[in-house]
Amino acid sequence: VIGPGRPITEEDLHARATVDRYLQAHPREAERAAAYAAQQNQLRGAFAARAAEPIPSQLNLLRLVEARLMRRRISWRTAAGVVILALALAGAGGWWLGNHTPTGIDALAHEGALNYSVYAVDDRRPVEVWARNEGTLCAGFPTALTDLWRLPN
Amino acid sequence: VHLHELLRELNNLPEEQREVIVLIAVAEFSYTEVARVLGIPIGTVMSRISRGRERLRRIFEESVRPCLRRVK
Repeated sequence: VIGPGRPITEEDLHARATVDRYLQAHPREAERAAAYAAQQNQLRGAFAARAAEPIPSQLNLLRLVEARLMRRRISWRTAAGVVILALALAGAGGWWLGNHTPTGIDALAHEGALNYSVYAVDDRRPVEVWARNEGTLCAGFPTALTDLWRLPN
Repeated sequence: VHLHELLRELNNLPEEQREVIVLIAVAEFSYTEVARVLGIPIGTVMSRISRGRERLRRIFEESVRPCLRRVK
């Protein structure tokens, strides 16, 4: 349960000692815990590897966007508006947790439509911006917004 | 274990187990955060991740065991 960036409390240390004692006394459980830890590392590795793979050319967003923008240019302001609206809705009452949440394939379509309206018009950057590239992210917002708001970290 | 095999087996897990495994193991959410995001009790998060991890472990133990027997 202890994750990076969370302060380790006194209780955590006591719990850790209790768990260590238990595992020493129960080798089979210790083996299982080690297998889970290895599994977790492998999963992280697998996802990191996938994230680093180059995007197949048929999915290259820049190409899709270029083609689309030739036909119809939507301003960055409109896209930013969609983001702000989505954030406001989310803040207004955890709307994706409420009863109006689309389910199954509808949920996927809903998410796809939102993502498309937000990202497809972004002709300056690839779709993924890492958290550490805060500058890139800020650069995309109109100055009027970044003057008023700080991006949540 | 080959990465692609692991991802394939992860994909074969029931969705409710797959989502908690990804949120906890990969996205490094805490159990509390997962419970809040998915709108389920924390006990349910724990039982789902436990079942999912155990299932993945069994699958890979079974794929390793026959090789060990042959060596004997």
